[in-house]
This record gives sequence, C-alpha cells and structure tokens, in this order.
Amino acid sequence: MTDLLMSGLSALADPSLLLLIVVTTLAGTVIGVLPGLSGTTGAALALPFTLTMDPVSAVVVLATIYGSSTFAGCITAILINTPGTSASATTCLDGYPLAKKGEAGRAIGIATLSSCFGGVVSVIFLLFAAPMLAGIAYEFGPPEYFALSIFGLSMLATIGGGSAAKNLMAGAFGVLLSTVGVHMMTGTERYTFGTSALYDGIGFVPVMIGLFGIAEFLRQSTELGLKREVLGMKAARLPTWADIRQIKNTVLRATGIGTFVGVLPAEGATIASMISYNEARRTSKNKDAFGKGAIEGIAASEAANNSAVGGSLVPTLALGIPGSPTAAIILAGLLAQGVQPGPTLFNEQGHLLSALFAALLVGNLLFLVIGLGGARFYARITQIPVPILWPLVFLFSIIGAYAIRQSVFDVYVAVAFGVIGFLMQRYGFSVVSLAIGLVLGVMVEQRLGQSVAMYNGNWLLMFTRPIALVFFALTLLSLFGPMVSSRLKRKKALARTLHHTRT
Amino acid sequence: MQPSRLVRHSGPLLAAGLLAILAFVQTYTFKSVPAILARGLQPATFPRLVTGLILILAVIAFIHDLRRPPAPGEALPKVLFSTTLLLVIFSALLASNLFLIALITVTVGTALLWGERRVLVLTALALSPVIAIVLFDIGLEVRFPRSPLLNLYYEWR
Repeated sequence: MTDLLMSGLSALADPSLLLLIVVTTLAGTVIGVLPGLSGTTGAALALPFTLTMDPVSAVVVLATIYGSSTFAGCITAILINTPGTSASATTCLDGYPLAKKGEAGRAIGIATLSSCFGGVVSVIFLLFAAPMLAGIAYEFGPPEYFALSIFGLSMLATIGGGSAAKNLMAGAFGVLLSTVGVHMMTGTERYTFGTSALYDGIGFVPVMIGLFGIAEFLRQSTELGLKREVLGMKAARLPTWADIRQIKNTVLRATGIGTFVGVLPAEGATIASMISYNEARRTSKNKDAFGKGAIEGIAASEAANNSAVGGSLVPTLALGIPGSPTAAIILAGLLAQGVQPGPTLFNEQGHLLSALFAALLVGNLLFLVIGLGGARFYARITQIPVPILWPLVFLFSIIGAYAIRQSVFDVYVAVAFGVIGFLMQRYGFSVVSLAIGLVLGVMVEQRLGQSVAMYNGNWLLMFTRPIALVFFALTLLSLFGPMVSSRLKRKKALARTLHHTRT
Repeated sequence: MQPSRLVRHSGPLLAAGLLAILAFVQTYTFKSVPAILARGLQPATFPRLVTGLILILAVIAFIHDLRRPPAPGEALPKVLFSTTLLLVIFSALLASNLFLIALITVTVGTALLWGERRVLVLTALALSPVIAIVLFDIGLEVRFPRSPLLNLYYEWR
C-alpha cells in the first residue's frame, strides 16, 4: 500500500501525466456543469478516444472525468438551481436558496471544501481498501465470483426511481445482450442471425454511447423551452471557521456514508448524496433550516457524492464488479485495454493503479482552484444554446461509436440504443441497469459455466462454499429486504393506530 | 385501472415479454455441442435462464403496475418525433454510404428543428463534421467510410 502511494506520488513527476490530469479535470468540469451531460455520459463519450491511448492514460482520463464531473454538478445546482449531474440534485435544495439570499460565494465555498474533503478521504480509502479486498479475492473461485456478480446484479433493483422488477428486467436484458455473438467456450453462434458484424458480440462502447449520449440527445428535444438564469455571485470563498465547526460532523458522516454506498455494487453518487442529505437533516439541530439554505445540507450532499467516487472504484478494481454506472464504463475501458481487474491487477499493473490514485488526488485538489476561482465562468457555460450544443454532442457520439472498430454497424447500434434508451427512461426502465447487465453478463455466464464444470453439473454444491453463501444471502437481502422492512413498518404503524384508537 | 390505461401501461412490458419469448424460442436454433466441450453448460442454457427470468420479472412488474399504476407521462412534443425522423434519415443516408452528408444533415437539421435560425451558426454546424473528420483522420488515424464527399478529401490527401 505504501509502495502504491509512493509510486502514485512519483507518477506525478511525469509532466505529461500531470498535464493530462489537469486538462481532463477541466474537461470533466465542463461536462459536469452542462445539464444533461453527466459523468457517465462524459466517460461514455471519452471511452472510444481512450482506446487510442496507453492503459495508464486511458484510466487517468476516465477516472478524472468521473471525479471532476461529479464535483462540478454543484456549481449549476447552486447558481442556476439545475443539478449538472443527478448526484447534485440534493445540493439544489439548500444551495440555491442560500445563493438567492446573496450568499452564492459561501455556498460554492462550502460545496467545494466538502467535495474536496470527501474526495480525498475516499481516494485514501481506495488506496488501502482495494488491495485488501483484492487480497481476499485470492480466496475466490468461480462459485464466489458467480455469487458476487449475482449480488451485483441484484443491487440493480434499487437503482433509479422505477420499480425494482423493471430495473432487474433491464439488467437481465443487458445480460442477455452479452450472450450475442460466438460463444467463447464452444464456438456456437448465438443471436447473430447470420450477420458477421455480430460475431464478436455487441460492443460495450456503442451501447454506452447510445444509452447515455444519444438517448439524452433525444430527451433534450423534449425540454427545449427551458430557460436557465444564472444567479449573480461576487466571488466564491472558503468557509469561515464558524461554518467549518457547523459542518464538520456532517461532512465526516457524509464521507463515511458516501464511501460505503460507493463500495456497494451498482450504487453510485446519487444514492449516496440522497441518503447522506436525509441523514444530515435527521440528525441536525436546525431541521427547519433544511430546504431554505442550510449549509449542512450542501456539505452532506457534496461530501457524499464525491466520496462515492473513490468508494465505487474499490469493487471495480478489486473484483471487477462496478460500484456505480460510471465505474461500469471505466471497467469497460479497462477490459477493452486488455486489463483484467482483480487480485492480479495489483501485482502486475501497479503503475496503472498508482497513476489512478495520483489522478484522483490531484483532481480533488484541483476542485479547490476550479470551485473557488472558476465557478462563475463555468456557470456561464450552461448558457450555450441547446440547439448548438446537442448537435455537436450527437456528432461526437457518432464519430466515437464509429472510431473504435471503424465500423458503420456500431453507428447503427449506437443510434438504435439511443432510441431504446429514451423509450426505456420514458417507461420507467433503468438504462444504467441495462449497461451494468451488459458489462457483468459475460462474467456471470463464464463463472456459472466454470462452477457447473467444477462440480460435474451438480450446481447445488455452490451453496456449500461459505463466501458464495454469504453473497447469495446478501442477494436475497437486497432483493427482499426493502419489501420486508416496509411491511414491518406498515404493521408497526397499524399497531400504533390501533393502540391509539383503543386508548 | 381503466382498460385503455392498462393497455397503455402494460404495452412496454408486453413488448419486453414478447422480446424475451422470441429470444427464448431463438435459443432452439443454437447448436448443441458434445458434453466434453460444453463443460456442463450448453450454449443455449444460459440465455434460456435469462429469458425465463425476464418473463417472471415482466409478470411481477405487471402485477405491481396493476396495484400501483405509474403516473401518466407528459405528452411528447412534436419536435421529438421530427428529431427521431431525422435519425431515420441519418440511418438511411448512412446505408447509402453517405457518411459525411448524413452527419451534416443531422447537425444542421437538429439545430434548425430546435429553433436555430442564424445563418452563421448553421454554417459553422455544417462545417463541424468536416472539421471533426479531418481531426480524427489526421490525429487518431481513423479512416471513415468512402463516400463522394470523403473521396474528394482522401484524394486531396
């Protein structure tokens, strides 16, 4: 771990890497402030370009875009009441009211400091936890990996606002899509319909570009009348000592919540910020101030969403299970580069990990400069007219989809998944579930096949493995836990009402 | 729930279920392999498991929607349909080997449909695919499909 840290710091001595981190942090911030363009979309659009780079630069680009876009969402949340990314939706609740009171600079300062703290702590956590988790993964065989990926897929139930069944359905469709092409073990064609372009399967990148880029392009056409007004701000400033004293416990708690939620498969910064915001309101002495410009509300939301970034990369790197939608794209990028996440990654690709840690650390520190120095400028970017911005996003989506395999077929795939993604969102299916299902699908089938072969067809023997059993139990818990808990709550409420009526 | 609303809400689930059934039926066209090669799992087994799961989930989602019908979505604006039509035209142009023209059609067409009227902006948008293609060709060595306009460029290079 110390080696990784030292190597990470020494990686910063490379000026070209440092420049790449700065440039992608700035680019990620632009992506983050533009409503509709999230870190996931940004990473999906950047993915094809990273394939022309070496693995270190590729992972640095993707991770920095992830971190900086998550942070940047707060700027527009505070100044124009529109979260740049969904992870900053809760920042609007108190950030905008505080800005309207003429304290936009204070709100930006609190959001920046909380983001920076949450981000740095989660990177340090990543530095220690990921190698440890990877060490445990040495004990994993195919049944454990199969159980883990099933647990990862079960977590899709709670993604987004739709029903659990619809989210899981979308995930299952993603898994089904991963079976398209020539079966690796047997050479049998599956769902290729005689089309040679489908022999290698459906590419991750065009699907991601379609689901996150082109679907959003179509969605933007439904919001053309929307006007965004930037609130005035003199200058962002660091919080005063009194502010820091007021938010310090909230920031610490939010960082813990964010990192933990980030580690959970598939759960990302949005859920982390929501839980953290609710927790901050629940434990606050000034509950009434929430929603009217409470600085704890801003701090809770921002510390949590940024700490989820580092947390989500722990299972991604250590186990190959994405901790968030954007982490799924980073995982796709790693796989496309021929880098296999897991225990061996830490032994064989140390330089790649140290560069990643360095990128995230520097990126988080750069937030201070961007947040305090450039917030006003970045807020102006949101004023780029939609009819100019989105045709350009479409253009780069199409060229990105084409560029990887230089295949027109991939362009059709991207456009088709753009339409599919738009319809899915319209009818309450999660596109994130579909994307994660597609990424995990190959691993699920491969590990299931290996497990069945290991036990000569008696797959029930998988349940005799303690670690696998734990993951299967967690799967049941994540699927039925919320249902059981809401039933219990309803029963309790009913019992209380009955008790009141009797007395 | 009113029958018309039920049909509207169950439509996407029905489509998803139908797709899963088709995918399930399609698995019967997959070739079986000797047991030694399959190593416990025939190529059709996993897709069958997944399609079966999708069907079960579709039934659960249908029951859920019956109990708690989702709020009706807002009516879609006309511009969405014209933008989608533009994507269809784009795909048709692409199929006719007109990559650059397809891109120019969408960038300019979208801007026009979405209310942009400034000639200078529209000209810049029309030029943007050309600039992007040149940059990708020179910078990243991406070779784009030959078409009348792109042939001119490649011959010039």
